[in-house]
Amino acid sequence: MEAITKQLLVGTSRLGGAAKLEAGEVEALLAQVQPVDQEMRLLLTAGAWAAYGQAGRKPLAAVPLPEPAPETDRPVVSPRAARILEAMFAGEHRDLLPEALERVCAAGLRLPEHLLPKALDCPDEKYRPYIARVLGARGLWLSRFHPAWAWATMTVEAGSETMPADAEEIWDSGQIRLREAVLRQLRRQDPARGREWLAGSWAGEKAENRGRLLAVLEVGLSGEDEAFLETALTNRALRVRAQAAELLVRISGSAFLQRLCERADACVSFKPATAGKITSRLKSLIGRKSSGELVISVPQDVDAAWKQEGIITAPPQGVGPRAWWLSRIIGLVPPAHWQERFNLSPAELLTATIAEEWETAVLKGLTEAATLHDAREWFDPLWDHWMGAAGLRKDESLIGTDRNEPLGPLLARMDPEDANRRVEQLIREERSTPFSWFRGLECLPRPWTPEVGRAYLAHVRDRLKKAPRVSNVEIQTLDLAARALPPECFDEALREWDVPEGNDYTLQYWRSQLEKFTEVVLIRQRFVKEVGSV
Amino acid sequence: MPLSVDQVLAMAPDAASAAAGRKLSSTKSWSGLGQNDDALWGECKGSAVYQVRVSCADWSYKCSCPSRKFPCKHVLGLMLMAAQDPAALPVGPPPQWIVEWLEKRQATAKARETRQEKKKTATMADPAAAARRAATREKRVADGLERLELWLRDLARNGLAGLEAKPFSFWDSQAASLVDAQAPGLATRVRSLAAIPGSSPDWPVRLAEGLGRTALIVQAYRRLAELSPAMQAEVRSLVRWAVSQDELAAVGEVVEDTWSVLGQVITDEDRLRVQRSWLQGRQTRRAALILQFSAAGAAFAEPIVAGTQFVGKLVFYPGACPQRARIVERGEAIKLTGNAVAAPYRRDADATLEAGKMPAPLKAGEPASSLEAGRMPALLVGHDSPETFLSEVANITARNPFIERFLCVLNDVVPVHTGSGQWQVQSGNQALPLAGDGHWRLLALSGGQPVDLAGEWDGHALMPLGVMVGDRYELLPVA
Repeated sequence: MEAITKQLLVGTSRLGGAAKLEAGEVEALLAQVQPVDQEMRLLLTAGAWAAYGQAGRKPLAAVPLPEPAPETDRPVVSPRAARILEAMFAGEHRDLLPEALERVCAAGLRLPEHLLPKALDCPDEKYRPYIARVLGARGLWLSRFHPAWAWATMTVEAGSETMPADAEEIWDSGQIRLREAVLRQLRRQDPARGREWLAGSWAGEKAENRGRLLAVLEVGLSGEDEAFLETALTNRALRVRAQAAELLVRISGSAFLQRLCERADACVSFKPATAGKITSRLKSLIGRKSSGELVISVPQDVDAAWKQEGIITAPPQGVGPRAWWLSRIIGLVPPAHWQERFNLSPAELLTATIAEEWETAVLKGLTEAATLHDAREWFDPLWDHWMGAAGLRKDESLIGTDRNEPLGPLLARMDPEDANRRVEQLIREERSTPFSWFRGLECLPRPWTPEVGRAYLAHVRDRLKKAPRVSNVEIQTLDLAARALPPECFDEALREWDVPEGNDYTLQYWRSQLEKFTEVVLIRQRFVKEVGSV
Repeated sequence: MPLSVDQVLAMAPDAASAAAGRKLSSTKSWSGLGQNDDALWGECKGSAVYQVRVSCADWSYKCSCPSRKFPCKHVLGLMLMAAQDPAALPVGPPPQWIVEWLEKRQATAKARETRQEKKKTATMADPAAAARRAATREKRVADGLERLELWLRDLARNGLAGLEAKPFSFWDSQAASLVDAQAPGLATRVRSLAAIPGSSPDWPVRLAEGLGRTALIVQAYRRLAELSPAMQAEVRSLVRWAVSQDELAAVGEVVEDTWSVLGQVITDEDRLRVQRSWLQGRQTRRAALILQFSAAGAAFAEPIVAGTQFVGKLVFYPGACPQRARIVERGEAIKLTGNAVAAPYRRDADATLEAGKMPAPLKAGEPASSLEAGRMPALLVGHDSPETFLSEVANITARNPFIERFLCVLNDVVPVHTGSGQWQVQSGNQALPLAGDGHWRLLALSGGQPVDLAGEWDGHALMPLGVMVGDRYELLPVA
């Protein structure tokens, strides 16, 4: 057939009329067909050989079979659940995948076989940790046949309880996310070795990875890490230095912490209350007893070492540099330091009078410090203080527009139950606070508690009824709520929404957002029904 | 609801329609939804309100929208909804427009019957006129073949190199001329050749084979009189002036069975879509190929849904080793399972039986005569080695060298992705190559274990169409 094909490719006009045919049976057949020219002879021979080839095809040789997939595996999700997932993998509401896959995992189920190639092909890296946990033995088996799917095994191993066998290989050549996971794993078991790994690769790391990897040292942090962190303080990237500083202040007795406290002490001192002072008397009249006064003295210019050691960064827009420095330095010092130094409880410290120009900076700093050092006894007093401060300092709307507001992180650090309770209260009270209820909702772990969900829905329904044309904030939260409401609230969320007749922009906005909201809640509801609300 | 979501999606003309249909498969875009034993219906709010209806008997459908895609997204949405959530379509009396539609369909069917009756009597009435018509037709075909042969010669003389740069019109004008000559079979063949140049590294061989086979058909047609009656019929159907339904009914072999639609391949040739449906009889084990053509995006005349089965009669086109067939009579389409209740299918029972309640499947190769009432032989019973399949191909080719595609059912083969990136299915020390790439779903479903598989063999490689997974028949995406 090859010879024939070659001649046909060239064409008889260029063969000089000497087409050579394969002798044998075909020639004999052609002899019966008269008269034929050489073009037809060539074509007929090709046709005959095609049929001969088809009849004479032989099986190929088998190759050694790979090990089959393990027989035992988790059960697969129901066909309905699989279809919802399939649509998500295809890009419809892909952002719901993490929740859905987490439910599959929690229910002890896995993806069905036919979805595995699509799941393994998922282009978005951020979904991979969720996918890896529901691939099951079958999916992991499959992933080994395709080089682009190697992430599956690595992700599973990096996330497992035990150190993966090829941890070093992952550390040397894996994606940054997997490397972080392996390092975290190693730090849990052998902090010294983890530090050595990072120190070993430090010089060759990309600048953007250094900060991420350094942050992992938080696991198993101890005085032994101090020397390495001190060298990181000399890094060129401010982000890395700031990260190193935040770790060093958490090592009690570190030289860095001592230097820092000395600097901070130079800025802040305490003057106990004297009975006759007018402000304290005034405050005691309205129920706020001042314990004294925090006297602040921030230098006009900072020592270059502050900058070098990652203590200060460029102030965000609208914040004076000195106020910023102050909040940064207080934000690093363990709050317990002040308790000891001034012999005051958190509540007493917070009721101390502070010169107005510094008050916000000090509060922000203390809140950040409480979050950073996980100083739980400060959480409640701080929160209450912020909320109480609202009425007093309405002009200072630092939260809501300020991306560095410290209450969100504090809320995220809180015991989920407390956090939920506080946000629920914010929604119910509907009063002006320096920290809005919708910002609070953003910071809560998902799904929300049923109480928060119900409070939220009641609030939004109420606004829709009473003031539909001035409820942009509520409309904007629908997107978040659709994804964060707990299953207990689905029915209430899907109850008819009465948007008044009319064509104003806001009403149309209500309608379009509510339509999207309903669609997402419906998908989640269907999925929960199929997989169980574990 | 006997249709599964996968099957509905398989009916979608393209991925975009499937996605759009999915979007419409929730009740919020619909009003007036309902169903009864005969039909599903609903009104879908798009840029206008469209009336959508689907017949439960054969899954034929109609929508009042102006879409040129068949089925349109509204029909797909309605069927998906019925498959996912039958309760969304309350059982109830049909609205007037459904009643009218069903009545009109019945009337059309009746009209067709009477027309055929009339035609039959007309033909019988005037044999001379019929003979005259036949002679004119013969003359036209002969002229068309003459032109085709000239064209083939030119190709051979000037060489095939460089054909990949030729526009589609180069092939299409020859095909159009064949259509005019009432040789639509050859026209389709020429159009399908257009896709070969440049399509793969070995395209010259494929094109040489394709042109060679075409030349063989022309040659065979010239010498029709020397062939056996069966081969005559075969060659005629390759050139194909359409075998009329009456003629087919008169000479074709009718086979009654439970027919499983194991897979479907749809190819787009410019304005012409060709659908190849591969069926296999559960009892007779006969393979059947149902070819349908549609022009300019129209729907295929007969709705055939891959992954379903129906009790019914096929009539095979006469020929040596008849393979091509058409449906003459069929019951309701139900979902394919390894074991399903035999006819009559009860509508109230779910077509998919729970695996636990099923009688044990018969062993592969067990003769159909051991059937008991209500029991069906295992769904996929075929060859247990590549070698026996290939020898069947050789046998059929020996009797009819013009057959180029074969239904291939293999038992206990292991799909393998070889080190060199090739795909094959293996049994013992033998293997068959798979067509195309990306058989990951097949590999995932098999788990590296032997599976029963159905596919289309084109003489070179196997295109997998479906695989048995436990008691389920899973359709595979056709690349």
